[in-house]
Amino acid sequence: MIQFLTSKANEYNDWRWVWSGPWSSETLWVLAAFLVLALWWSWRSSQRLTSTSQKLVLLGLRLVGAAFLWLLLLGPSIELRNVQKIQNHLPIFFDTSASMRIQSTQKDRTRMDAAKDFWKRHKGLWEQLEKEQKVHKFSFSRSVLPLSGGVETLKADGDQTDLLQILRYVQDNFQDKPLAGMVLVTDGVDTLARSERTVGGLTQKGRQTNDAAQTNRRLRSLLVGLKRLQVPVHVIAPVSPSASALKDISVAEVFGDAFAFLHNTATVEALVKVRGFRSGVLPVSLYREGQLLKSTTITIEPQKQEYTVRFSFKPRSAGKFIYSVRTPLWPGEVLEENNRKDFILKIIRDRIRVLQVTGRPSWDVRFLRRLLKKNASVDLISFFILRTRQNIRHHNPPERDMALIQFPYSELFTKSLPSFDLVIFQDFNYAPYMSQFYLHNIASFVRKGGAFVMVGGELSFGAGGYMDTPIESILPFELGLGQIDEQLFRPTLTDAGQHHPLTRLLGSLQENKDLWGKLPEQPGVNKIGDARPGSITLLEHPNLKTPSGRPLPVLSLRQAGKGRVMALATDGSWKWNFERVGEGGTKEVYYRFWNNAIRWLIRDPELERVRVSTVRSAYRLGEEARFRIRVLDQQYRPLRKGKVSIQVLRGNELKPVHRTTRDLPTEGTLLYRWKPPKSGIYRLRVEAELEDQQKGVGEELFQVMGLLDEFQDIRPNDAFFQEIRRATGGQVVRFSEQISKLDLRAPTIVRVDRSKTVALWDRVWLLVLLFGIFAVEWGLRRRWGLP
Amino acid sequence: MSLFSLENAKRLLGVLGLCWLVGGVVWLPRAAAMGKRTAVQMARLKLPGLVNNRPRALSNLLLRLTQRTSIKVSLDVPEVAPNDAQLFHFPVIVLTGKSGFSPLDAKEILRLRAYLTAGGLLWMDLSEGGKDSDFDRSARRLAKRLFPQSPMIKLPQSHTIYRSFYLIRRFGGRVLQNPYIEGVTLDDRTPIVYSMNDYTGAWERDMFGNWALAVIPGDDAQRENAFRIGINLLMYALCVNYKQDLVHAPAIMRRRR
Repeated sequence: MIQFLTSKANEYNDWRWVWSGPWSSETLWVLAAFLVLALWWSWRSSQRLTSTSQKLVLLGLRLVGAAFLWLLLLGPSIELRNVQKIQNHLPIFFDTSASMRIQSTQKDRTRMDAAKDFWKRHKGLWEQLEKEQKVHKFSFSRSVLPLSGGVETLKADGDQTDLLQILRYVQDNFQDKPLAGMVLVTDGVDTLARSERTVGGLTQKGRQTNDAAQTNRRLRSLLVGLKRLQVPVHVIAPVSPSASALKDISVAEVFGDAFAFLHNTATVEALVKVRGFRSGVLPVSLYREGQLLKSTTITIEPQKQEYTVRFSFKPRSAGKFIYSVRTPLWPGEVLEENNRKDFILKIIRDRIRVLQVTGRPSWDVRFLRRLLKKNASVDLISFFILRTRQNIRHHNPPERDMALIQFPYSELFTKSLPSFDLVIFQDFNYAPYMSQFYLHNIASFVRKGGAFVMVGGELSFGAGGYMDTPIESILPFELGLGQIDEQLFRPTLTDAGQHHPLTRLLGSLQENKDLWGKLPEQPGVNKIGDARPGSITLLEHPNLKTPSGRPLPVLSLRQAGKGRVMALATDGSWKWNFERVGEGGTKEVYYRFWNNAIRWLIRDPELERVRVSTVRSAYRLGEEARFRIRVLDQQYRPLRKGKVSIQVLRGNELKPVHRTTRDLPTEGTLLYRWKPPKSGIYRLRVEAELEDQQKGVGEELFQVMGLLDEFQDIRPNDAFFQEIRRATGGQVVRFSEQISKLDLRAPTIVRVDRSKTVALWDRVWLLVLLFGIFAVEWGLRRRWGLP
Repeated sequence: MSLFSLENAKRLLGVLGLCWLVGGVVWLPRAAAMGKRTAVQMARLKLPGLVNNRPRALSNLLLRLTQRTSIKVSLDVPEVAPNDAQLFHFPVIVLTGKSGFSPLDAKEILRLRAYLTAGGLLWMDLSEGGKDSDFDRSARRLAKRLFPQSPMIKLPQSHTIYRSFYLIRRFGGRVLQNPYIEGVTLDDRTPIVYSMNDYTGAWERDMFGNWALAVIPGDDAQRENAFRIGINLLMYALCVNYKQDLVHAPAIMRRRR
């Protein structure tokens, strides 16, 4: 037909009708009405005829004529075209998250290896698809990235899986491009919701219930989005092993608050998932800084896969610590990494727990107790020895007349001792009440991080019988023979005392020195020995000397093990309160002195000289962790010259994963960056040589989020695959299967390279034909006697 | 006069009593703490026109205190005036007398108020007379001027003063005028204590060691109770609310039942 209409039809591979009449639509409507009228008139005039066939012939001729006339008015043409079909796009997404590292069974290859093998076995199919479609290959885990190398170079090292990111990527980058379909090579495990709600490895209480719902919402959004693309989405997925074949035990989550209060019961709950094991007793343990803290067991039941284990414990030290919940590796397990879950727990003080033990009531005792009682952050327990055996011998009324209780030294200095932050012995001689065994406990308490103060008096230091006791070993100076000097004196600040925050009661050095020179005199001093190496003396006697000829220490400090010790060799500090008020001053000096002392003793972070802080507590794998390091000099001003040694340790490992030294910048704050190589909990430890021959240490913990979340739900998400299949009409193909084709949408978009329009209405024979029809009608009408 | 007359017997007893007193003082553990200055010491508040009619009472109380408790005391009881520089060396001051005293001037009131607010304790004890006596009116006026916003009230039985060392069930004193003690309380502390039972009279001895005044209606228990109140009061001055600590509560409540 086309060949008949145009001789050049062979030069084109496509054609279509076009209408090129010059009439406006209004004109065409008028003409159409005219033709209808003409038909009506023809029919009406033919009513004179008696033969129905004659009537129909006339009407038919008029109808054909009118139709031809209408056709010619429309201007029919044929557009001849040379067209080319445009290829559709086929994006293929490869899951490179760490869960692709999982083996279905212990003997299997990893999911990633199986995916690569599938790709290799279907090389011909991919080559065919690349000829027919524009194939785009991407990797995805936390984000989507174009694949630069071949499929065989892929590594399963992504720390997170965000499946919804795929949809967003397609919507952004293939918006105006025709899609043939999509291919997802994945195990379908989405972990974004999990990572968003964990802090320092701990899942916040109350948020765990949102996890499944949030993941479901995300996958539902993905399904709706994929369906709207109106293309088949094919999933190439790992083989889903049978329930018994896949054996794994994982500490899937640890629920709890990110902080706990010192000496208060803290609780964490671990969710343990058991797959492939139908019986047995599984130990589950809680570790703190690598040391076993608590242990329990769960009994595996055949139909149960999830178990909740609760650990309650009382933290005994303030600060940040690495805790972990662990289960042993059982034979046949496909993954070892998920058998433990590390987390950071920050232990904070709700109140400072102070135990004040005094040998006798005195004004010094009274004012210190009053200060501690009035300090809202202090939880004070006092024990005063109100009467001695000598008193009882002299006067011993019935117990019912006395408001006295037994001194519970045994309970205080054994079981209850770790619950205190600070123990104060004030003018207290231990010997009448307890043995050295309890002093040993106190020394041990200090070495483990507790704080101890001994305040002077005739029952303190050597006079209290502490020579050659465990207490002497932690005190900052040697004990003398127990002598006491009764002369009034005003202690003087040492060089260290001028700068130390404990004795820094006023702003400037000179003001502070002047103040100490004006404080009320002390009523006497315990004559003790020389300060021990490593201790700091802040106040000394202006005249008296130790046996070796050095100035007699009055106030000294010492770090004993992990704890801190302060010794004040006088019992008159109350005079800095009461008597000073009488002299027209305020009791503020006394309060400041003791509050400074407490802050130093309990290691208030504000008084640490090496301070390390992380910009964020958690980083993503591949991200640079950033830290601020400040080192303070004796005057607690930023140290502007010197070196710091930086070590990074992973978890509780002793060997650093990174070590370097840096110069302190002149502005005082060193900004340090480091890129962690793996996920996990890290400890940044900074050591600085301080100008007073001391070594300062500061630490900070931080988390690098990632891989472990990928190993919690290790089964391929089969239900999700089937939903994709139903929503998009795609296929679900297992790595082990062999396929010959993938159903994709055919290309629908064409491109016109060349076209030519051939008009049909201006042909002479068409006019002749039209004229002939009208002529025949006219002839017949005349013959049959019509006008 | 017979050598064995009643008078001589009394004298002999007086000498023996003095020896006992001196011996007791010598026996005191004067291990010299940080010297006398650290030992617990009281002072008598000296006001113009007010005669110290119980000169040995406080020393006697301190002596009992150091015999019965672990507290180390100084038996000297000096006198201090409100404006004395030494006032703040003595966290407890005692005002006793039977006559009234002139109102303190504003400067003295300020200084005394500073003393009491900073941690000092003033114990006023009526020696003679009753309610509305000269001393009573003067003492109440002083308390009101010192702390106008805090009235002097009867201290409830739950007050720490009644259980700071002894559990007080009965009140003592030279006379049993009031079965209670009054006081001015600021926050959780009572810096002014006022008693009308002449406790100091019950503690007073003559120079021979005899009780200087008989207790009325009178028995040893009444005098003993007077000492117990005094010891409790000093213990309260030194330990404040120590006995209100929770650790003491169960035992004290059990014994009170």
